Amino acid sequence: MIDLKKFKGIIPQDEVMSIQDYSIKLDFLSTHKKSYIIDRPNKRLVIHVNSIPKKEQKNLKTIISSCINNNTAILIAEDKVSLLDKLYQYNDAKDKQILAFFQPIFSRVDWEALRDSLYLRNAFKNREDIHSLKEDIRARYGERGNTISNLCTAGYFEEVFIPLFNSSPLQTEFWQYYNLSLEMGLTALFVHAQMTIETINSEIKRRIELGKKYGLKFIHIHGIGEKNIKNIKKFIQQEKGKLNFTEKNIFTNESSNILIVELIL
Amino acid sequence: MDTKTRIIFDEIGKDFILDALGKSVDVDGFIVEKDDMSIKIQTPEGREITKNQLAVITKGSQKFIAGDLTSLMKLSKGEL
Repeated sequence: MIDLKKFKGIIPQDEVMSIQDYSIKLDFLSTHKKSYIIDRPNKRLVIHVNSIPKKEQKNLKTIISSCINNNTAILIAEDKVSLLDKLYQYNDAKDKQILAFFQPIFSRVDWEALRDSLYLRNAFKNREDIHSLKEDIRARYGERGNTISNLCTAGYFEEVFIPLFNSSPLQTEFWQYYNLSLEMGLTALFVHAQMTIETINSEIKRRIELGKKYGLKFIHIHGIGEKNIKNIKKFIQQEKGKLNFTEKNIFTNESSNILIVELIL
Repeated sequence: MDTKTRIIFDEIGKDFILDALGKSVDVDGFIVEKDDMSIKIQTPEGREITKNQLAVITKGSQKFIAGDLTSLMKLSKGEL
């Protein structure tokens, strides 16, 4: 921890003793006359950087540099504090089991994408906004990472991949299915709001045709939202005769507008 | 959980922080050494990092860490 006595030019020394374990917020926007405030509910010392003399600003830079160099402080962007705190606290036993199972099996990259995806799934279950987490996974791991994330959220890793791995002595069937799922995205389609009806139709058709070619027995179509579900149902009614498949509803929740359909090939 | 004092900064404060640590930003937005702007700073994973991506600075040798999920996950697991 930083010895707050170092801030003697900013905060009176008699205030320091009671806030030694506080975090420090550098506020560059405030035009407050006072150079600091003590935010006791949030255990924060807020320094109004623009309200302190130039000499003290220079001193503040020296303190920051020395605290990083002697490892007594960590600098964190305000918009990442919440995520970092949640990550430190994230300790889901079931997720740990899944990660432990796949650690000796997957490549480092797939495993890290799965770890991030399990965290995202937890955030989703807790009704947190997952948009930026999803974007982070896609930016770091590309479409493969996005597929891992979608499959993970839908429970494929524990419900499909682990049983398949355990039931396949040489794991041939597992790796074939895994690669078809990840590299070609064949085993499941996750319909999202930006997909047009034409895209949905062509993506399902591609999966049915290639799925049959590679010997898949079924594929799953996941849809969330009234419009997406309507489009999926419309496709099935129009095409099931022509493309020779039957459908089975795996999961429907009309109040939440969630549909998972199995297309049996 | 990290027991070091947290110094929290916002987007506006990044230039102040970087200057304190002897760093600057080049025309493409990458964090560079102030004394030699041809030297780009790298994250512990060996990636060049922009000012926009910067989220955490820690440890004696000054580790500059991006704010994406994977980077912060690794930081929280002590992998960086």
